Amino acid sequence: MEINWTWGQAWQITYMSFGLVLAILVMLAVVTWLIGFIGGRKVRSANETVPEHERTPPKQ
Amino acid sequence: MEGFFHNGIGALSWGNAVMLAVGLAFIWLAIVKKWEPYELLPIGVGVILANLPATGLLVQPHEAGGEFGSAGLLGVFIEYGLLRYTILPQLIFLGLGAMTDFGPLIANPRLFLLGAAAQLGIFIAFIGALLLGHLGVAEFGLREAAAIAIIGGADGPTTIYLTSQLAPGLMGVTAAAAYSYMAMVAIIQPRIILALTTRKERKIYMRPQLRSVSQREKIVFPIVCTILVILLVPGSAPLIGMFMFGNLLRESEVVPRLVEAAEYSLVNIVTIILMLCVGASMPAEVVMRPETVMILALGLVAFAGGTAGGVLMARVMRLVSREPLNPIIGAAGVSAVPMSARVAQHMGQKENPRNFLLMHAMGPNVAGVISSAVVAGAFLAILG
Repeated sequence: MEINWTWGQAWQITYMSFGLVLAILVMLAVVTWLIGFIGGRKVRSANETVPEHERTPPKQ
Repeated sequence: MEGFFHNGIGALSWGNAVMLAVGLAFIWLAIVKKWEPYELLPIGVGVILANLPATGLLVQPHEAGGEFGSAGLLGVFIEYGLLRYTILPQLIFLGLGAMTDFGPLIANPRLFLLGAAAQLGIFIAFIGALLLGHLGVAEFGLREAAAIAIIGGADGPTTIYLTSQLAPGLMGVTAAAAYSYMAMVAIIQPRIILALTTRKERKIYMRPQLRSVSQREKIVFPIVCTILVILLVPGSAPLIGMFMFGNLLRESEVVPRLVEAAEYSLVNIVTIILMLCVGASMPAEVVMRPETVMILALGLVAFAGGTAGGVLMARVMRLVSREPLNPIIGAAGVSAVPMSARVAQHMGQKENPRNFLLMHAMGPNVAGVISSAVVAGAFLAILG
């Protein structure tokens, strides 16, 4: 057991860790949305070069 | 001849006897009540083996002094699988990744926020544990507080992983608490959800049809997640790396034998060994202390706080979201997969029989697994 911690350290660990988790998950949300957006654009541009009956159906 | 008559009866203490009863209780919960049987059954057996005296099963290799045949089976598993190299929880995460479908989360990325908010309980318990230490009620420092608080992540392997690194003496109790509370999700969560939401909110209808997620997205996601998260929190690499590796095996669809091995053989074998070790980490002299009750209480606070955090975040998101968002799914940010998603499904249907919230709830559910691993990585980076 540490015996030399302070409440300042404890609060710093708390808000830094929680803030880090929130920041990373927000980043992951944005990146995931981008992956979906780019994937959707690829499908749309691929559909423009193929006959209609061979097109990938749009995402629901 | 004296050895022939040597038995454990004389060495059995009252504490051992109580813990034998606890072990039997875990076995009863697993077999009769069917509470997390894959975890509680081997934990119960481990507890019994740890509290039958003079067996030598728990002698770890470093304690045996290098003498051949003197280390015990459980001692070997505990020292090399948990304390010295901590590989068992990481291997479990590989198997869990192979079982996980990130589709609902990829289809609705805003649900990541619910997984993050549901980690609030961890930090409430962290401060609570430190307060008890500060008041002199328990010997909880920063490392012990983090090891106790991670129970709120409702993720057994993460709890075991972090506790074995920061406070190995608490591992048995924290892991048993985590798995017990996960088994009680259906009892703990509904009350909190009811307290924090209105009837009108619980009736909100979410269309059951999520957008379809392509295989390409499901392949790119674990790769990007691995690189991004580990660059930012290197301490999370063992858990996130293995989790996403298992998921990539699954989503690639080119290695079905490896997926099958990860999902079944690997997970099953490691579960047996890991849960036996967890139980074996609960000898009477470690568990029968006042701190154990405090750990159980703080674990419950962490769990409840996490549920509350997820629900409250969902309520806030509902106000700014263009699409309907039922706050019940916020409770699924607690990463008890898939139990808390099922709780959300059940409560949602009870309030509105048209509602099918399971797939929506799986999004924050799996986001919670990532979030709790990130928290563990952060704690390790700061306190390890």
